[in-house]
Amino acid sequence: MHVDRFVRGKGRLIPTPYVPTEERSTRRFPLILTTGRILSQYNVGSQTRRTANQRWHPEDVLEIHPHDAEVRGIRDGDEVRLASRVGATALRARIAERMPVGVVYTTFHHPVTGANVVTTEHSDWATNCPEYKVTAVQVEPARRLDREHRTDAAATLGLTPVAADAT
Amino acid sequence: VTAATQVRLANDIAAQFAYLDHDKAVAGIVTHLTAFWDPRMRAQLLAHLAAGGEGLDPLARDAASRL
Repeated sequence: MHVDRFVRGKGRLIPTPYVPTEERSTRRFPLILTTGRILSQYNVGSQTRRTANQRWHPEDVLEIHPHDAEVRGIRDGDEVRLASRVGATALRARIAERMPVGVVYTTFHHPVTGANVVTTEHSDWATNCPEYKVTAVQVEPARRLDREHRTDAAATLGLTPVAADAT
Repeated sequence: VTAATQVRLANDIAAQFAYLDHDKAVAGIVTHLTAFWDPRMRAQLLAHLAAGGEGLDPLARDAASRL
């Protein structure tokens, strides 16, 4: 196939200029939310959610630096309201030293988390893939309605929490 | 989705082709918009162009006018 030389040369390099997101933290939404996956849960939720490894991650939690949590009156394990300029959801907080001040993180393995309710209309130029890494948000202790929404969403989706000792 | 979103996307695409000569850049943007954008997105961009095309990068504007 490539006797003596590569048929189209040694390579074709195409510039891909960096285009920064226009998303900015503000006084109303002073934190940056970034989302990601946990290795053991990769595509578990987006496929069948019928494999045993789902037990390793019973719910998505919001990781937040101790300083950011303290000034908001949030303790480890509290339910919190996570809001951006486009939407809000509720999930449980985990105080995490590994987080930088000003940045919160969650996974999106459970539909009830509603991470995509919070993320914005920003997207990637080539594939229109939504921006999941930079969303300006505010976090505060959950209100009663947030908890009810979370329960309603779980019921609508037919979800029940997975017990750690489930078989 | 608002027209502003289509303008931002079109401008981001234009930035990726800006290293080329004008005509090649415009052709590249047109190819991208034709191949990868939903027809409703293109229609929204064209409507915005017809309304003056505020905020569109010159390359994106030229490409939109060739759709």
